[in-house]
Amino acid sequence: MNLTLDDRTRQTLGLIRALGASHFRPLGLEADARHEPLPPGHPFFEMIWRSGYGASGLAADESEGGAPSFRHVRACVLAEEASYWDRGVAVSLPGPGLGGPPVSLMGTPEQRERFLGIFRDRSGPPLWAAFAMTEPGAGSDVARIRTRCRRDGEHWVLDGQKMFSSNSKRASWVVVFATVDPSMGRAGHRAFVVERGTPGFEVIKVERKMGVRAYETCSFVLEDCRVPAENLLGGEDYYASREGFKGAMASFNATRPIIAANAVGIARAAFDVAAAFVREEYPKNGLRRALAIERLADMRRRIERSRLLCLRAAWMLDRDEPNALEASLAKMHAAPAARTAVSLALEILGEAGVLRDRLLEKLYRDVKVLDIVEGTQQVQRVVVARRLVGLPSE
Amino acid sequence: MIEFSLPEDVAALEAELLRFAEREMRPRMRDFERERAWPPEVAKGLEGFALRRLDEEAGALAKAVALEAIAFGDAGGLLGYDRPGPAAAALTVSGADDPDVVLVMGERALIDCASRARRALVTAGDRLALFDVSECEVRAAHAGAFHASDPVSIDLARARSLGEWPVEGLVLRGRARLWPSAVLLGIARASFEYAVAYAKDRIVMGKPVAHHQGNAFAIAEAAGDLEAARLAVRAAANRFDAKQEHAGVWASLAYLDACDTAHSVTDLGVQLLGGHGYIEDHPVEKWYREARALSLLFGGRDGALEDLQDVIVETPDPVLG
Repeated sequence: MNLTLDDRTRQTLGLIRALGASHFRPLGLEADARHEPLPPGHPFFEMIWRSGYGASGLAADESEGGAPSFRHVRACVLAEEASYWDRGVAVSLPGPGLGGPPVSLMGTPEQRERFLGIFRDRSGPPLWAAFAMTEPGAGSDVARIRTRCRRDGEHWVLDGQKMFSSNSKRASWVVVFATVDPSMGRAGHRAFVVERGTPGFEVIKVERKMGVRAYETCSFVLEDCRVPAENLLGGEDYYASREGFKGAMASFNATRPIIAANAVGIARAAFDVAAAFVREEYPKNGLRRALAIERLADMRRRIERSRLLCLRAAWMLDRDEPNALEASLAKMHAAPAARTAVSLALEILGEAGVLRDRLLEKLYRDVKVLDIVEGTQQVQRVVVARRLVGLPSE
Repeated sequence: MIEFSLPEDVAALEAELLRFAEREMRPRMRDFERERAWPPEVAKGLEGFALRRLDEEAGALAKAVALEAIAFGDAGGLLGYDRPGPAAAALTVSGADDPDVVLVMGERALIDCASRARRALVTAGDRLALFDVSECEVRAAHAGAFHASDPVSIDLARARSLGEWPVEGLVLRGRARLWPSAVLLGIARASFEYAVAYAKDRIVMGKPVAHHQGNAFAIAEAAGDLEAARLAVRAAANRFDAKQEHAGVWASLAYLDACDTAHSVTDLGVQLLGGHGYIEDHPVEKWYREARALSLLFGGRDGALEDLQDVIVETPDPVLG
């Protein structure tokens, strides 16, 4: 057992820390106040793109040559730190974002190079990618997606609607899950890379949200959208048996620890605000201080436990060990733990938490989304219960 | 580099101890409780694992793993058997060579401990005191748990002071707290696995108890809590082995996790069995009692929180710095 970071991760951590203090935090507060995402032409994106940093903590691992791969422990650590400074800004960063893991996990070597390789060349303008699974009628129950796909010669034709897709309006490509036949359930799923400018792909709405306002959350439609056959992730053979759905699930096994790590970052930020408040404004003795100390201890425990669950799930994935249970445990635990931690921090600050300290109040709104995206905590409980006690699907 | 695997020798020790605990201890734990002792063959069997020297020779992580495995079989006699156990670090400070010692956290005139001892090490603040309690009045305690350790109350009125030392109180007590933390995890795991097996098998209203969503979700949550607490305790032990500066803080926080998790998981264990959980036909009531009792010893949750008062604000993050 070893919980020390390697030098390279620590170095990148230092970079994020510096950028976090100088840019992430102030830009996140600004976007929150303006109720608008950062525009793609924002000079910050140009600057961070040139710096070589990836996106959302899913930093492309460029030292190994070839198509970027995703080292999951490293990604978790960096996702936590980025989220510490501002989760919304972290998600807004250029890079493959949540589109990266499905391409990395399901794509052929040629597809990985074609779609992830573009993020290596930083000489041009910043680039984004995105992921789309959720539909108006299919959120937690992803097996019920209704976006249709049908083969037509050398193309696949997609029709349907997607929502809650981060950055898809500015993305160079979006991984879109669709079904050949809704009655086939999960066996009918296929994943496509839909490239920017493909006729029939149109973003119809950018949502107004309670929190994490620095990035765009989009809805888009696919109308007679013709996608080249070579953009079917993994190729036809991949979808024998139930591989399509398994691919989506494998993607979740990579992204759930990341989202959980985002939650840990927010909890840490809340802890630091509360600890500073106790240090500077609380009496040195007495009941109020004792209560605050208990709350701070509670927060630190939640942070430590959640982080360990995240890192363990990611570590297993790095070792190619099945981690579906551990990924769901991390997500199930970390998101509500972080929400409670922020709430405890607000208790410590009292009215100053909502009237004076804009950050903490924002964190309370930001953190809630992490209990929803990539599978709500109820979904995680279902996943865990299926594995532990054979909870039936119906 | 982040690494969650146990060292090979520790993993092997865990596997062997679990086998021993399941085969030699679990089936007879009710007898141990009735007879207020582990029988000689259990003590002899454990000798082969060198439990008493493990802390010193293999480190805090190895000891925590071993204690959890044994407690999975039966924790009832551990407080009496494992001497100096949680007092090991304090014993080293005192230089005393008699391992028949109990560790007491906090200032008290009457100590309630889970077994007889010749010496008592008392620690509060940044102080450690050693007392000869061999001539003190000892009364059998009517304890709710740990009968196999033959619990007693000792009146310190006639205790003879053998010395006093300045110590880093939180380091010493944090290290000691790993002991009950690991045992609590073993108790909680035993209850969880037993209750889940029962809940998968028992049919209520047409389906297994575990398949009713209220229960399924509670089981999922308990699994997460148990795993998280185990990782926290092992990480804390690992920090002692790595001689990290704030290891006592993280061990005390992990102890709080272990206490809370053991309470909630053993409570769920009884709850999943319903009325059957409340009677002695099933062991979940024993684990419920043990979790509650053990988390009151060694200063309990309040003692840990008291220790954290002055450090929780300033202690740096253990992984990210």
